[in-house]
Amino acid sequence: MSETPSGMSPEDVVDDAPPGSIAADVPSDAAVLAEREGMNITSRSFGRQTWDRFRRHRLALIAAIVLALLATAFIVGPWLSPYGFSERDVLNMRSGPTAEHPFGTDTIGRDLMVRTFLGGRFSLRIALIVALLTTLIGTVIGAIGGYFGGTVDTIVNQTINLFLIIPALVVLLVVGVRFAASPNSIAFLLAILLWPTIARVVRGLFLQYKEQEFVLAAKAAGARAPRIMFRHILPNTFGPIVVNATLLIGVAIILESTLSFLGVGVQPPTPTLGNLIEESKGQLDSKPSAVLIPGGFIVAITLCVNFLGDGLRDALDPTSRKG
Amino acid sequence: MSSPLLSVRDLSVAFHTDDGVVNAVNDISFEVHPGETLAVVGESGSGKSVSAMALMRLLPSSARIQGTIEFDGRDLLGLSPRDMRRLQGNEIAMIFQDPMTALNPVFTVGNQLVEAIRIHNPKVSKRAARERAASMLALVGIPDADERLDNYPHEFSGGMRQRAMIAMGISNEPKLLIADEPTTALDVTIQAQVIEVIKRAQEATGAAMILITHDLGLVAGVAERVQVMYGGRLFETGPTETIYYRSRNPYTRGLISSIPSATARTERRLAPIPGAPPSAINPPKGCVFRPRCQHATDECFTEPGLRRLDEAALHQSRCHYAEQLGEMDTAASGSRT
Amino acid sequence: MFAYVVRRILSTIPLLLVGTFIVFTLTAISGDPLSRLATADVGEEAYERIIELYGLDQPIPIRYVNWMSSAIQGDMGPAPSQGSQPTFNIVMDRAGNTARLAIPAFFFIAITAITLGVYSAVKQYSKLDYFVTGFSFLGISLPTFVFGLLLQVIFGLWFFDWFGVRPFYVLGMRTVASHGWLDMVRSHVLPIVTLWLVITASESRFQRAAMLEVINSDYIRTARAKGLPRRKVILKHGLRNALIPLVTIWAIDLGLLLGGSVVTETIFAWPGLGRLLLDGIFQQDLNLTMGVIMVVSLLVVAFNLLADLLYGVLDPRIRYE
Repeated sequence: MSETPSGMSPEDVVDDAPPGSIAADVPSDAAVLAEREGMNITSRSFGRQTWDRFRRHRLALIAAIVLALLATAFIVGPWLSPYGFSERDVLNMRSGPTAEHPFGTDTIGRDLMVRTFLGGRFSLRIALIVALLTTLIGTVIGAIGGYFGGTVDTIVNQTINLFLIIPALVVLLVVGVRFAASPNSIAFLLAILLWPTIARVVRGLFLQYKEQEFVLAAKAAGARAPRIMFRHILPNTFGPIVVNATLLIGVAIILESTLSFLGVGVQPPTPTLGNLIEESKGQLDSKPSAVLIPGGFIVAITLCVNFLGDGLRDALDPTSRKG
Repeated sequence: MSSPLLSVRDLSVAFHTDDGVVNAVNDISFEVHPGETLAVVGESGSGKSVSAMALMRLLPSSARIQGTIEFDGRDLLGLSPRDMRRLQGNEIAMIFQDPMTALNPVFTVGNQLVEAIRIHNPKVSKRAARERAASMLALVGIPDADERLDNYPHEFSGGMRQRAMIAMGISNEPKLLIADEPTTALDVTIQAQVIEVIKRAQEATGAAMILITHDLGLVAGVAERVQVMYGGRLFETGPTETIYYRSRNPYTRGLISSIPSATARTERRLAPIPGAPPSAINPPKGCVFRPRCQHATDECFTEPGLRRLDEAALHQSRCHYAEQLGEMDTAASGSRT
Repeated sequence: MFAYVVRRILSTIPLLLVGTFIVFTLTAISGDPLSRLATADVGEEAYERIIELYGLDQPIPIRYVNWMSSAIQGDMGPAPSQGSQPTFNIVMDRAGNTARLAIPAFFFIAITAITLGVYSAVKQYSKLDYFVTGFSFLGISLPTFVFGLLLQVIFGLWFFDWFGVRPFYVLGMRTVASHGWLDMVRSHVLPIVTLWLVITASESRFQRAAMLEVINSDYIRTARAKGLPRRKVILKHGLRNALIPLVTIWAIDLGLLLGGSVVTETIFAWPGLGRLLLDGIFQQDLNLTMGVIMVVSLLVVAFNLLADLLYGVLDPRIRYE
């Protein structure tokens, strides 16, 4: 914004918004002071430091373990269950949690534990596809804009800005009303709406790295643009990209389940965690467990993903720490 | 000699970090007498700034401070926070390194000067404080001082901001002024001016001063005594003349030979000391300067103590070979092979 | 200053036009209003009239231009899904209902977020700091609809089981005029708490970071070196600087809040802008959908501009020419 001469436009402040540092990842004031005074206080390798930083983040480690357990349960659970995912137990319809049906049954007697695990599997699968696809699209576009600059970058930047002002929820709703969504189409749609967040980060990193000496050296050695971009610069942007991709899993889970809750997400009978809540919200008064259990899984997954992302940020992207 | 204004005994500062204990300052002792100027010289990381912050009690609570600091008959480390605040900015004032960030950007310069005056003199009216602030700005050489009070820091140049910081520092006529690298962040062309202003301000108030710098060249003509620090330790201390011409420490000599000289028209080369400052967590065994020292021998694997080099112990050096080091050849003191 | 505002507004218009055009196109192609309006028994003549009334025979860009040019004059056309009342009136009416939640929620958000942010930054690594961090992580990970439903279960169900009373209404809006003061408050509490949690969670983290950055800055050290009491160092020198980014965020939040929350209003059956938007989309009511989108976008744009201007007021380094 040329109107703000100091280069500190309010937009910048907003854009740089929550750096998301949990208490443990801010370096202790003593270390900051010591480093500021020019003291050389570490002597370990980068890999070792990364691992140490991550390990110190006990919550992130626990989160990773819980996530792995949840994913295993979602994948293995339905096989071990005596009930099929659409099998109806007509003697026990609308039941709350019982010994036979630990999560209860739905209005037509389907076992909710199997459906919850399957729902978790679909939700997680969608979220992973969204994270991968978003990261892929965002990284490629952001890299192209940041590396080539000029007109290319202007187009990339304006596209990013345009996507950022489009109300994503409205688009999802409008499209969702018209087209019955499958897990893959929802994932694809979310990725199309979310890629600018990654692209902006990657573009910024490429803008910064392309002026650095190792890139200039590679250029002088005659390396072509794709090689410089993907062999020389990309590895340096690995940390922030992985962190953002991880956090995207949480964003995708929340968005997907919200859409399902509003009735425009993945169409039944395919269960997702959001679908399960949508199907049961009418029985909130009589059987809250049918809403609270899938809700609890959503929160557990997102919480773990956010802790994990934060730990990874601390470990892989220490420069992002505010100190 | 008069009784010292400031007497520091066996001061040590350590920080506990995730990587281990950082021993920033190790057992340093020194005195400052009323009205005199002591220069503390060393590279970044030598512990000079940390020890100054310890004097001001500005270190974070995680810092472990040992030793005694006696100022004007009071034990600074034992004072309650409230009593300490009465001294801060009043009897002991500090000027910081980076004037670009040391002033609060959202308040006018006048506001910040008046605040400094009135916090210690609540009875002074706003108008009187403002007049005093204007006269302080005038003293440090800012023209149209009265109008300039209404400017924000960003409307001042770097040199002017540092002048404003100096004005703030002396506005309560402190007994001790601590200037922490006051010219490092400034353009070379105005460094000399700012040093001049600091001297003038010091003379106007009669304050003693601790001038912290990494630039030994800055010290000449300003400080009566010089204290060289390295790796959190006191390496050499003595009258400025002595340090300049009869240094008995290889590290100090290295510093001297890296001073760019305007007077020496010879082809004297600038000779920075090779190597990097020691790790504060795992310092080298023995003398901390040993890995960079051209005179190092096996004996240097045991840590040397401070050696007195004259009767009054004015000149002391931390080197096993303090007495044996040859006379300095000023013109070729940088000659190393 | 005035010139800056004009320039900012002018530069936002193209973005606004492109954004609304995209939504218009998507809405127009995604739903066929005829399928809803003209059921088989309407007859050929009525069918033609509807096509003419809504300009359905025109290409989408023309329809967009027509709609936009009359919308600028305050005429957003009739809303077929709402008994063909004027869209503008419905939108304004619902905007008022949304504001009933948005404004109190905003005040609670501002107060709690800044208190938590400042305290946890000042007492970094204290128990309170970890509590605030945990709170914000939980809030960020909790989808709005899950939290809203949880509140309904707690206060509509469990609380009644334990204590035999329902302290708050879990559905619908009650006004002073229709039900009196007490019922009005009881119906507003849960949706406001929902909005509050979701936004406060992400903001207290941001405010903590903003305050931490300020606290570690050189001018805070200068203020301490002057001998200022800690309280004054933090509240005068610290907060005044931390407020600069915070106020910006607040202005943007207020704009978003006033635009309505689809999820919160759906859960609590609140007749606000968010619900209206959802209704418009589900009923494939183009005029209604576009009307809400216009108002919401204008709110967002206006409060972004306000944020910019406040930034200039709070930070003397910034001058708008």
